[in-house]
Amino acid sequence: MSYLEQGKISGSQLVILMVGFLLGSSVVIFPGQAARQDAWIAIIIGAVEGGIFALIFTTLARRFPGKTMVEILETVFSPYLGKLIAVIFVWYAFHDGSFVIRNFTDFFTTTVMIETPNIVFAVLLTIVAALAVGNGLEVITRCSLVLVPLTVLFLLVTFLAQLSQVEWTNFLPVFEIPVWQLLKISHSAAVFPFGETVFFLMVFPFLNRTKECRRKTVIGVLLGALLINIIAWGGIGVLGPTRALFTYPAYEVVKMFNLPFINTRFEIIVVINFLTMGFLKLAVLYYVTVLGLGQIFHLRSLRPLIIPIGILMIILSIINFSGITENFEFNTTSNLIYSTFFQLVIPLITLIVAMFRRLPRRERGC
Amino acid sequence: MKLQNRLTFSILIIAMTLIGSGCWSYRELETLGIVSGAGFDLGKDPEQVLLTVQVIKASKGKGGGNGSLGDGQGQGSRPQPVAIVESNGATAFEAVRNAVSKFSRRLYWPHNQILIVGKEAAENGVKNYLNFGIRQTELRPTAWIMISPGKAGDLIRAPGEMGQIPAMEIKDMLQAQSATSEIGSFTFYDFIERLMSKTTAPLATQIRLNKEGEVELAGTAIFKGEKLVGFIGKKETRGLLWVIGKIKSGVVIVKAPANKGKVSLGIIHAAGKIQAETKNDSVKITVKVNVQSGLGEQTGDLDTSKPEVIKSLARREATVIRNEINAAFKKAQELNADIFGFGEAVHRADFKAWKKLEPRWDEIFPKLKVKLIVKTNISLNGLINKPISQK
Amino acid sequence: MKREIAKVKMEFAKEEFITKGKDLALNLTANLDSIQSELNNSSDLIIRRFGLGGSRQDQGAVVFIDGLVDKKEVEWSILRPLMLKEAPISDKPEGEDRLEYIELSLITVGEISREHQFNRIIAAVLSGKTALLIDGSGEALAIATPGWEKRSVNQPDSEVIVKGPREGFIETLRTNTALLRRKLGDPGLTLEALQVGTRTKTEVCIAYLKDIADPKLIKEIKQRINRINTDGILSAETVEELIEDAPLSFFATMGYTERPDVVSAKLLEGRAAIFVDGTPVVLTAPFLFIENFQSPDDYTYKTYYGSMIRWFRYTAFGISILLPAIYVALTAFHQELLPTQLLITMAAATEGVPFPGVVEVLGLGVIFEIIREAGIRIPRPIGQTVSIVGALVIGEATVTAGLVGAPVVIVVALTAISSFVTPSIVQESKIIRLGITILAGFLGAFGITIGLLAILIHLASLRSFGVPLLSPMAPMHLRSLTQDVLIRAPWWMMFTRPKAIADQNRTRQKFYSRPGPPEEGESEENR
Repeated sequence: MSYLEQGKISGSQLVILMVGFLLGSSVVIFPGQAARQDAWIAIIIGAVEGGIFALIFTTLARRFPGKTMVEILETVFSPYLGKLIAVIFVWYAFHDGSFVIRNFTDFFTTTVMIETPNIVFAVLLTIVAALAVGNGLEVITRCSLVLVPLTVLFLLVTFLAQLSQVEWTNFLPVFEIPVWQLLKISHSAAVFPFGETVFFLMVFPFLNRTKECRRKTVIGVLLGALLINIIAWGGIGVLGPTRALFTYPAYEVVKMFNLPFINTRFEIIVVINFLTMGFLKLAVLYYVTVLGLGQIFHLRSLRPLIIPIGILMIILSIINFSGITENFEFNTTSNLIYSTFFQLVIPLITLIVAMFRRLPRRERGC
Repeated sequence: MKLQNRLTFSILIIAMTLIGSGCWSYRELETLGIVSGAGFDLGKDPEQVLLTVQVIKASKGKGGGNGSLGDGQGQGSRPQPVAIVESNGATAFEAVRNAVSKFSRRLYWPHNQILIVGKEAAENGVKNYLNFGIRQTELRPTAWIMISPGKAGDLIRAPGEMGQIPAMEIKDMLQAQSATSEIGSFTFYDFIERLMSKTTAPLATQIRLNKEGEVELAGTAIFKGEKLVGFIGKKETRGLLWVIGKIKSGVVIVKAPANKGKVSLGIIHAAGKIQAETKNDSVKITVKVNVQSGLGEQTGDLDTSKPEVIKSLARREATVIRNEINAAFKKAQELNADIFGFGEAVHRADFKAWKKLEPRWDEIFPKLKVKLIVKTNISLNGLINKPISQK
Repeated sequence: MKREIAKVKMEFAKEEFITKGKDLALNLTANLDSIQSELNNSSDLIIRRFGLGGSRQDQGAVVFIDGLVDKKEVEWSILRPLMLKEAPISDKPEGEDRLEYIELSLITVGEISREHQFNRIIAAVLSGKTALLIDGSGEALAIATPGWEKRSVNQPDSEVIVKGPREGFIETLRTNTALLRRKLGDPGLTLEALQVGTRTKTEVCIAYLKDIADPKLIKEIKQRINRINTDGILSAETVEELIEDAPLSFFATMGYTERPDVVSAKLLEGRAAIFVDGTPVVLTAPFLFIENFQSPDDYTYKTYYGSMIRWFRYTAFGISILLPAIYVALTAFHQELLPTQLLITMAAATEGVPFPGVVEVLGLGVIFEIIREAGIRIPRPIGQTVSIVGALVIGEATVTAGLVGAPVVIVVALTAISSFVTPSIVQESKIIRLGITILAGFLGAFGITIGLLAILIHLASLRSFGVPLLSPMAPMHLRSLTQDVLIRAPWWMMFTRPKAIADQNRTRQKFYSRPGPPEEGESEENR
C-alpha cells in the first residue's frame, strides 16, 4: 500500500509543514484584502471556517488510518467510481500547484526582476520542487523544518520593525463593511489558503500516529492564521487605505521601512520568504499530485511521473490566465465555489457514504 | 538511462535554460544613471510633461586610495557630482523613456530622494506623475514630494551648498526641519494616502529658490484632490503640524509677563488628537493638543524659579499655539481644503453618518466649528534656576 | 569494457586461490626456500638459522624484515633462550609439542601466536613480526617485536587548538588505540580488528563503547568494511570513500579527526571510530552536518564565549559560500537594496573596469586558489616572498591598473579567509560557492535562493549510516539543538546524548548538576 512512500513523519513535523504550506503564497498576498481594514477579522473567520473543513476531513482520515485519500476513495466508493473521484481530486492538486507557480512568476516579474521572462522562474522553481519531491516526503518535511522557523523569524522581525510606523487609527472603523460581504470575503480566506489543507489527506497516513492528525491540523491552521494575521496587521496598520491599491501589500510595507540607523532596504526578505514558502507549498502539491497518480494507477515507482507532471504544471500555469488581472478575478469570484467543492464537498460526501456503508469494516483475527 | 547519461542530460538542460536564454536583468553599475532627484513641469504645451532629472556622477578619484597612477583625469578642484538631464514626453512615463535620446545611461530610480513638481504642473493636476510613481516598482514611495512656486527644473539644477549631491542635501535639509518643526515633510506615500480619501487634502512641502539663489524650504502646498490650490507659510504649517501630531521639536517664543522680555520654550514632546462626534447630521470636532516643553532662554530677567511664573508662561504658550492652529484653520477654510483630516475622523467615529456627510463635506467644512483644547506643561528648566542678573 | 572487468575479476580469484590455504612443510629448508621465493629474495628479508640448544641437528630459524623489528628484542627474547647451550630445549621431544613448549616456556615476548598456514606467516613477517620456524614442525610461531620508526606524538597541524591537550594520532595503529585507551578507561571500549586491501593488507580497527553505541551501527560498519575488495588502501580517506553513504554527493558523510580527545568525545556520544593503520586520520560515523562547525576549542571556553564562537563559525561559513554571490547580486541586479551612499562608492570603484562583476569575482577567486595551492607546495625559504608578492602584485596592482575593482578584492579575500574557519567543509564550500556565484550571475537573489534550496534538499536527503545528516535540526530534537547547536551549553546542562545517534543510552550525568554552594543542611565536609 505505501510502498511508494516509505517515510514517516511525526506530529510536530506535520504542524510545521502545514504552517509552511499555509504561509505559501499568503506571504505576499494575504487573504481578505477586500475587507480593507477589517481584513484581519475576515482572516480569523476564514480560519475558523477552514478549521471546520479540517475537522471534517480529519474525521475521514481517522476512520481509515494508514490510507491516503486515493485509497479511501477507492474503498468507500466502488473501485471505478472511486478512481474517478480520485482523479478529480488529484486534478485539483495539480491545478493548485500551477496556481502557485503562476503567483510566483507574476510576483517576480512585477516586482523584482522585470525583464526576465516568466518561464525561467517557473522552470527553476519547478526543478527545485521536483528535486524535493523525488526524494520523498521525509526530505520535504526536513526542509520545512529548516525553512519555516527561518521565515517565522523574519516575519516577526519585520513586524516588530513595522510597529513604529503603524498608525492605529488605520484599523478604525471596525466592521464597516456589511456583514454579508464580510462573510463572503471570509469564505474566500477560508478557501485560500486554509481549506487547502485538505491535501494533507494524502500525507496523514505517514504520520507516526494517524490519530493525531486532527489535533495537529487544527494547531497548524491556528498557527497559520496567527502568522498570516501578523502580516495582515502590518499591512493594514502601515498602509491604511492605500493598501487597496497595491498588488502586493506585504512587499510594499517592507519598502516603507524607515529605521533610523539601518539604511538598507529590506524587501528582499519578503522575496526570500515568498520563495521558500512558495517552494514548500509547491513541493507539497506536486508531491500530492504525483503520489495520487501513482496510487490510482498502481505504479511501482513515482520517478517517471515527476518530470512530466512538472512540465505540465508549468504549461498550465502559463495558459491558465492571460494576465494577472484574470488571476485576481478568478480568486475573488470563481475560486470560491470551485475550491469549496474539493475542500468541503468531496470529503463530506465521502464521509457520509462511509458512515452509511459502515466502513471500515472491523476485521477480526488475523 | 544510465546514471552518467542522466546526469549529463540534466546538467545540459539546466545549463541551456540558464545560458542559452541570456541574462536579462543583469545590469552593470556603469550602465545605470542613478537618479537622485526629479522634477516635473509642464512642457511647451500643457499636454506635455517636462522632466528634469539629477543623475549622480560617481567619479573614480573617490574610491581608489592609492591610485595616483590611474587617475589621470584631473577634473579640477570641484568636480560636479551630478549631471542634469531634461526630456519631454506626453506623459511622465514617456518622458522618462525619452530621456534615453539625450543620455547614455538608463535612468535608475530606486535611489531617488525627492520629487519636485512645478506650480503650473501642480495646478494642472499631479495624478499623472503619481500614477507613474506608484505603479513602477523602481520608485520608492518614501521619496519626499515638494512643490515649487516656480519651475521644478530650476530647483533640480541648483547646486548643493556642501559640494554634495544636491538632492541629498535637500533631503538632509528636510530631515533637519524637525528642529523647528515649521516645515512639514511629506513623502510620496503620504500624499497618495491623503489623495485616496475623498475629503482630506493632500499636502507637500514648498521649496523655492530665494533671492540669493539658494534652495529654501518655505511652508506647505495645499491641494484639493490632485490640483494645487494654495500655499501656507511657516507659522500656519506649524499650526497644522500641532494638530496632526508631527511636531518633533521646536521653539515657541512667548512674551514674558510684566513685560520682562521674551522667553523661548523648547518643545520636548507634542501630541495631537482629533476626535469627532456626530449628532443628527451635525458634526462636532474636538482637537486636543498636549505639549511638553522646557525653558530655553530668556531676554530680560524674569524670575523663573516661582511656580506661578511657570504656570503663567505655560498659559501664554498655549495661547501662542492656539493662534498658530487657528491661523492654519482659517487658511484651510478659505481654501476649502481639509488639511487636518477632520473628515476621516468623522468616518472613523461613525461610518454610517459619514456616508451621508461625505458628499457634502465641501459645504460643511468651511462652516465647521472646532473646539480646541491645548494643554501645555513646562517641565524642565535647563541648568539654571534664575536668570543671570545683577542684583 | 565488460571484458576487462571480467578479466580483473578472474585475476583476483586466482590470487585468492593461491594465497589461501597452503600449509607449512615439515622440512625447515623447504619452508625457508618458499618464504624467500614468495618474497622474491628481497634484500631486507633476514633469515637467521640457528641450532636449538646449541645442537647442530636440531635447527630452527627466525625470519624477519630488517627495519620492521626491534632487533635487540629478537636477540634477547627469542634467540637467546633458544640458542644457548643451557637452554632446556634439548630434552624435549620433537614436533608440535616442542613448539608449544617453546611458546609457553621459552619465548619471553608478550604477544605470540601459532600459525600453520603459509600465507599467514608471510603476512606476519611483512607486518613486523618475527617468525620462528622449527625443523620438523609444520607450525611456526609469529612473535610480535615491533620496532619501526615512528613520529612522536604531537599536535596535528591541521587541527590546532589554543587551550587543551596537544596529543595527536600518528601513523601506527597500536599507538593510536593506546592514546584512545588513555582517554577512555571504560571496559566497554571495544576494538574490533579487520583487514582491508589485498596487497596493502592494512589493518583497520573499529572502536566503540559497547553499551552506548547502536549495535546495528557497528554491524553495518563491519559489513561495509568487509565488502571492500581492492588491492590498495593507503589512507583513511580511501576507506571513507569505499564505505560512505553517498559517494556521488560532494558532502562528506563521515567525520575525521587527528585528535584523541575528539575521538573519545564522539565515542561517548555513541559514535564509532575507524582507525586505519598508516594514517593519523581517524574516521567517525555516523556524522552530522553540524559537526563541521564543532571544534574542541568550544568546550575549553566557558559557555558564553563558546556559543559566540559557534555562531561566528556559522556566519563565517555563510560568508564563505555567499559573499561573492551576494556581491554580484547586489551590484548587478538589486542595486536598490544598497544604501545610496554605498551604491555611489561602489559605482565609483567599479567605474572603468572592463569586466562584468561576475567575471571579476570568479576570476579573482581562481587566482586566489592558485596562490593558495602554490603556497602549500612552495619550499619554506621562498614561501614568504611568494605570498607577499602574490598579495601585493595581484591585489594592489590589479586595482590600480583598473582591471578589477577594489570591493571585489575585499570580497574575495574575506571569503577565502572565512572558509578556513571551518576546515572540514572547505572542499564542499568551494564548490557550493562557485555554483551559487554563477547562479547569482544569471538571476540575482533569486538564483542564490534557488541554489541554497537545492543544497538544502540535497543535504536533507543524505543519511550517514542511517542517521539523517541534518539532525538535530531536521528531524528536530530540541534538547540536542539547545545543547550543542544553538548554544554551547555548559557541561552541567548536557545531561543527555544526542538522540539521533545514541537512543538507547541517553543519560550522561545527573540532571542539572550545576556547581554551587552547599545546600542547607550539608556541611562543607560532606561535599
